[in-house]
Formats: sequence, C-alpha cells, structure tokens
Amino acid sequence: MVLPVPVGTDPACEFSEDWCLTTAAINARIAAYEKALARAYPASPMALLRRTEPLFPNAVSQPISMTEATFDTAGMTDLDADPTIITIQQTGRYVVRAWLQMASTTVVNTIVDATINVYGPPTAFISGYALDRGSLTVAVSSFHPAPFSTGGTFIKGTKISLSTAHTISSTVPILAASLFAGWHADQENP
Amino acid sequence: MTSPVVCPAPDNMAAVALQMQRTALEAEASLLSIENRLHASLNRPTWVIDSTANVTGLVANVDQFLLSGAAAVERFNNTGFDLDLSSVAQLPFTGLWQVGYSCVVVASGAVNDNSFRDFKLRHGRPFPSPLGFITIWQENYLLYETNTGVGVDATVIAEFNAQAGDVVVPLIQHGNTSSTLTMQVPMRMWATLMSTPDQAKVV
Repeated sequence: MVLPVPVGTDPACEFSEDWCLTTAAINARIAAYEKALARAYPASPMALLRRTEPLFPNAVSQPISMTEATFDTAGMTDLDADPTIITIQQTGRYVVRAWLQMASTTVVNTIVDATINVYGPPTAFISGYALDRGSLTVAVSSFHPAPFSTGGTFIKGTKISLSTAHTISSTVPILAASLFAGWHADQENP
Repeated sequence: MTSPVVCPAPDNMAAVALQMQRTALEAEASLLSIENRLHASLNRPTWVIDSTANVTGLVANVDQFLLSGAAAVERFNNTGFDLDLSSVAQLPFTGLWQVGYSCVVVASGAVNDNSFRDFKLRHGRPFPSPLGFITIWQENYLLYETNTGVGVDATVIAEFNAQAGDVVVPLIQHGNTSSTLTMQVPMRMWATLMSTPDQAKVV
C-alpha cells in the first residue's frame, strides 16, 4: 500500500485532499483485512451431518441419508433437497471424517464397504467423477462401529457423501452415522 | 468490526494537529482489533491432557472411565479455564469442537479369544448441574483382541456441537470376562474449538 504524502509546496486545500486520500487508503486496507479475517474467524466453513435412527441399506452401494444437520456455518447442507450430501461453498483444503455403526448380521464375515465419496462438479453422482475418497472395509457378523477420514482440496460445488455396500442379499442396518467436512486452509502450500 | 477513520473537513482545518492525532488513534485502534482477532484465529482454544498413571481394574461388560482425574495432567491449555479434571473434561466455549483420544488397553490376566474392546467418546451436558450429565451424542470404535495378550491400541476422534460447559468423556466397554483390563500410560486426549456457530463469510 502506498499512502499519499503531502509535500511542502501543497496549498492548504490540497493538503486536506491528501489527508482524505490517506485515510481512504487506510480504510480500504483495513476493509481488506476485515474481509480476509472474517473468512476464518470466529467461524469458518464447516458442516456436520448425523443419522440418528437406523437405516436399512441393500447390497447396492447407496449414500446414507442423514436426519439432522448438527452444525453448518456456510449453507453447506440442505436436508430437504438432498439429505445425503455436504456441498462445498468455499474452495480450499478440507478435512473430512465419517463414522458409522453397522448392526449385527446373521452371516459371518459379511464384507461391508463404507466410503466417503467426493464428487467434483459436474455434480452428478456418477462414480467416474469421484475425485478422492476415504474408505473402510470390514468383515462383520456383529455390531461394529468405526470412524474413518480423508481430506483434500475441493472447489466450490464439490459434493461429499457417505455410502455403504455389502456382500449379502439381506440387509445390514446402519444404526447411526455422522459425516463432517471442515475448511482449514485456502491452499495446500500457502 | 472496526470503525473507519475520518478525514478533516474545511471547518476543522484549524485543528489539524488534533485531527492528525485522532486519525492516528483511530487507525491504531482498528489495527489492534484486527491484530487481536488474527491472534485468536491462529490460537484456537485447545487443550491436551495426558494420563500419567495406569488405570487398572477395568471390568467387563460395563462402561468404564478412561480418564483418571488424579493422574491426568494438562500438557497444553490456552482456553483460560481451569479444566478441573475428573473422569470428564470440559469444553469451555460454545461451538464445534473436535475431540479425540488415543490409548492402549492390556489384559491383566487371561485373554478371551476375539473379545471386543469398544472405545467410546461421549458428549455430555451437565444435568442436573454439577452432579451429573445427560448424553448428547456418542461415537465409538470397536476392535477385537486375539489371545496374544499384547493389548489393543485405539484412537477415537469426533466432532461435537457443544454449549459452553459441556463435557466429553472417554470410556471403554469390553468383553474380556477372564480378567480385567489395564489402560496403560500414556493416554492422551485433546480438544480444539474449530468454529463458533456464526455464519462464515464465504468467498
């Protein structure tokens, strides 16, 4: 920032003008600082979705439908429009974490895949558009809760969901689940 | 939000020196406010606790506290609050907290083959305060131990939408009926306030 500086040959009226230009420049820079700071403090973009009641998915991979938006500072969730996704509203680096409770099954060593799906624009939920994902594969025959996580650089419009798939024809209920995405930086290498 | 600094008008040119001082003070106040919030944004309220003694006698099939107040010490705490550690730890500000703990539990005697170790992290709200708390949410991680007896390591991390004064509780329930479990040192637990509930300025 270069501030206007009055010089000795300035008439008084021009000195006033320089002063006003100086204060205007200071205000502009302060406004820029305020705008940058407001993006990270006291709130930054993050959302937490939870499923608080059992779900009975079939063997085909399907996103888990959430029942409550526990936290959302940036309009990243809309349960009425789509209860399965968090939509990134501010481009940047994000940490993503999920947790789910799989109920017991009658088939020993049922393979269950749990996946955090990250889809960049275009926003269609097509596997070919998967950018990055974290996953968990477990062999269960009894109650099995587990957390897992991923992260990455996501652009505005990226959609994140949590899905499961399993290997038997009967259902493997999901008793509860959560999905969190939180912004923590603009770039990988500031 | 800071107030804009003002510039002199024709009717106050006689007080240029005073106006200059006011301008400097206004600019300084604005910068100080920004500096304070920048420091705060870089130093999110965080605490880190270590348990410095084994927790013994963890019996099977009931929830057992993993945080032992007497042996738990603060390794880091910039919240400005005394955590007053017991079997629970406090979240002193309202907002979204990320909380985690890691530990290892080892059987004190015989190990039941493939017996479960259910590591839990509970978010509670004092009720009736300060005698107890109700559970708001809980996430957990279930692992199994073979009969090697080497123990089970686990890390549980979860996010909680907390009110100031809420508590978090690390717990374990296990199915090792042939002997009790011992949680060995070091056990570490941490929490960071990631965001207030305000709406972020999305750009």
